[in-house]
Amino acid sequence: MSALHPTARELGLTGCRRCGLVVQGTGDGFCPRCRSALSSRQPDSLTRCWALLIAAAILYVPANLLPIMETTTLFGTQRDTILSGILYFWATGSRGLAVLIFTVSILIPLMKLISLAYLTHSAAHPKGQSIHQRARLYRLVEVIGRWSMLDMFVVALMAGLVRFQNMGLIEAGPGAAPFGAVVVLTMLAALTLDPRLMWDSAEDKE
Amino acid sequence: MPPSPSLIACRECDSLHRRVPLAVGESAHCLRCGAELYRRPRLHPEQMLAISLTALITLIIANCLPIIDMSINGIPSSTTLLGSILVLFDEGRLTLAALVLGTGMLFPLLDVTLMLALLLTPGRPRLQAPLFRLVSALRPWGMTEVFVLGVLVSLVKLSHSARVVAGGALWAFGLSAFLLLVMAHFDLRRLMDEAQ
Ligand SMILES: [Zn+2]
Ligand SMILES: [Zn+2]
Repeated sequence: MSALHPTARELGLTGCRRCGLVVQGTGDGFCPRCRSALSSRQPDSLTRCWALLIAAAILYVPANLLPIMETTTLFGTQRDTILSGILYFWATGSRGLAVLIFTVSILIPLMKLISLAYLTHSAAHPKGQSIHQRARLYRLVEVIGRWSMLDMFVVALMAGLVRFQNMGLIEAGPGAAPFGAVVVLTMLAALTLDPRLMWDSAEDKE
Repeated sequence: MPPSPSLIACRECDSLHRRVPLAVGESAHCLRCGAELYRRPRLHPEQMLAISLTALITLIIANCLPIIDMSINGIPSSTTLLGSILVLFDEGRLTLAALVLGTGMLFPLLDVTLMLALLLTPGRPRLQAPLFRLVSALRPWGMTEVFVLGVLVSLVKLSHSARVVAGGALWAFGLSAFLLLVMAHFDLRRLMDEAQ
C-alpha cells in the first residue's frame, strides 16, 4: 500500500482518464460526465498491447526491406528503401537531413518497439529500472511516435509532384503501407497501455 | 454513484489529489509521478474560439493552395495536399493514401471544427460530452506539424534535380500547425469542469 500517496482505487474510487472526474466505486462502467468507458484498471491492456507490438514488429521487416519510393526516368527505374533514401541524402551532402530521416524513420520506430515491449513486460514483472525512469520512457514514447510519419508525407508529396511524361515519374512503393502500419500500430500500443498498471506493480518495491 | 468534483486522480499512476485553485498559466502536477494533473490556461474560452476559427480558415486555405511549385526543363508541376492523395489512390496505394488523408487533412480539420462546436455550446452537457470525447480521441492523430516538416524535406530533396518554390500552402500549413499547438496546450478538461 502506498501510504504517502493513496490511489483512487485504494480509496474505492475511479478517475475518468478522459475528463478527470472522480467517481465512487471501482467497477467498470461509463463516466457520468463525458460518457467514456470507465475502468479502475485495464489488465487486458497488456495483452492488447502485446498483440499490437507483435504485429508492428512483423511489419517492421517489410517496411524496411521493400522500396517505399520508385523513381522512373529515361535511364530506368530506381527503387529506394528507407535506408537507401537516407544514404542518398548523405551522399549528396544533405547530412543533417540524412540524420533527421534516420532518426524518425529507423531509430524512433525501433526504439518505440523495444521500449513498449519493455514497459509492457515490466508492468507485469517489475524489476530493473526504477519506476520513475520507466514513467519518463513512457512519456517520451507517447510524444515522439508521430514524427515517424514524416517519410510517408514526403513520399506522398513526391508522388503528387513528380509526374513528367518521360523525364521523371515518382510512385509510392510497396514498402509504404507496412511502414505506415508500423507507425499506427505502435501509436495504438502506446495509447492502449494502462500506465497505472506499471505503478501498481512498482509499489511493492518502493 | 455520486462524483467528487473536488478530487482528481492522476491519469498515469492513479494517485488521488485534492484540487486546489491555480493562478492563470499555472499547472498542478502529481506528487507521486510528476504527471500533469490539470492546468489553468492563459487563454479564455473566447480567445480559444478566435484561435480555433483562425485555425479553421488557415487550414482551409492551406488545403486549397499548391504546396510546392516545381519545374524540370521549363515544364511546370504543382500539387495540393488533396492532389497528392488522389494520385496515391489512383496508383492503388490505398493504405498510404488513407493515412495521409486522415493525419494530414481530415483529422486536423475535424479537430478544429469539433473544438469550435465545443466552445460554442457552453452549458449543454448532452452535446458537449460526445464532442469532448471525439476531440480528445482524435487529437493524437492529427499531424499537421509533421506534415510541415515533410514539405520542407521534400523541398530540399527536389532542389537537387529541379527548380522548386514553396507554394502558399506551406505558410498556411505552418501557421495552422502553430495554432493547433496552441489549441493542444489548452486543457480541454477545464471546459468539462466548468460545465458542472
Ligand atoms: Zn469522463
Ligand atoms: Zn501520478
